Amino acid sequence: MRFTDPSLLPVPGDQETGATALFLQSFAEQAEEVLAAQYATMAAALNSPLMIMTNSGVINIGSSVSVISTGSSVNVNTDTYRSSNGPATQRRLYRTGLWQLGFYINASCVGTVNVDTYRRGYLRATVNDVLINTQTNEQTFSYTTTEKNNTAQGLSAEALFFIPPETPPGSDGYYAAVSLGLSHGNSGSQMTIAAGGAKLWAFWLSDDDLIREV
Amino acid sequence: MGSQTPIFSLRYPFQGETVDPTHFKNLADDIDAALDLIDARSLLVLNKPALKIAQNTDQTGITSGSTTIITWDTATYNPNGWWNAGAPTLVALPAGIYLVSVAMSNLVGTTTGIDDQMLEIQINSVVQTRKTANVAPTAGSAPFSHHSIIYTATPQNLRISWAWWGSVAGGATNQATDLSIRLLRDL
Repeated sequence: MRFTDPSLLPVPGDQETGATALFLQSFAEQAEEVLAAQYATMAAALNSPLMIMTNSGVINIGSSVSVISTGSSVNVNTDTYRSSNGPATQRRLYRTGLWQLGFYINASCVGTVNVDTYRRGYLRATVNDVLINTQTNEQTFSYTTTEKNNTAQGLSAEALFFIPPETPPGSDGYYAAVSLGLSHGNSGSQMTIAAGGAKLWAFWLSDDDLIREV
Repeated sequence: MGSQTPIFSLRYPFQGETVDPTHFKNLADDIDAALDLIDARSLLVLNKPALKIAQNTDQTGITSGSTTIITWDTATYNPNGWWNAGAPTLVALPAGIYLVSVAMSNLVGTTTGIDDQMLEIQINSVVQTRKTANVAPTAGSAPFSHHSIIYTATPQNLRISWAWWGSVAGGATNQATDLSIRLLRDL
């Protein structure tokens, strides 16, 4: 909008000035509504929901005899960062759409290294019905190394994960529960994860209706 | 005189106030200013701050089990000046949350005798995340990458380090490393 020369504009007569003032107020308010919606959309695009969590204390994972089949959970219990409009509950993601999930676990051997036994970190994400809290889908991804003479090894991987939209629209929808695990094959020694040695992150990428989420 | 809207302060006359051309001009100017704000945001959405730098000069003689900071020598994309050739090992990041991706190519001069290698992402010399990869000792050096989200509440220096374990006469060499960073959220 360019008004370079206000003198070119018609000036309303005395009888019209009240209606013109009302028109300008209405115009300003409608313009602000449109501008604010655009601004909010850009803000949402700039700052998508995001969560980073870590472990606050040392975690010891027992010898492989007890954990080889299922692994042990790694309790990431501290919010490093959580966006204000992001996940509302720790390790739960409530927004439908595509998420980028990632994890990191720094696993060390407490006792004797057992060369060429495995170490596996994995991230498990399940889709759950919000209302009845029932799991409907599961996706697990992992990263594996074999033990060598260096005791500390970093296990890390990323993957995309989809939370389906609510069906029908307006229903309670779904959430994803995400958790970290570690299993290993050293039957003679525990693994340990120092405080801050495990991280879990989730970054929301997109859904099919951004405006609805603003 | 007059009033204004609550968010973008678009000015309009009071009812009963005599309307003159200035009211039209003020409203148009205010809408212009608001559109400038939205344009700036749109530009950020389309062009989130990012970085791509590379290490093209080999770092040689690295002993088993020692951690070596990567020295960068080439800026491919550095519009925000996060990397400075005068301090080639560090990337100065404003506060924010970043997606970091580092890839070591090791395409030439492969070295046998490496059991493991590890890439680390450090913030102010503290390891944030690391990734270890096993390498068959007879296979030579292997291309290797690590991706992670990094959080910095205040401006911090990011460094990438590499380590290896095994037996290589004269030490191992790291080669052809790329570092890409993209801002996910500012704080």
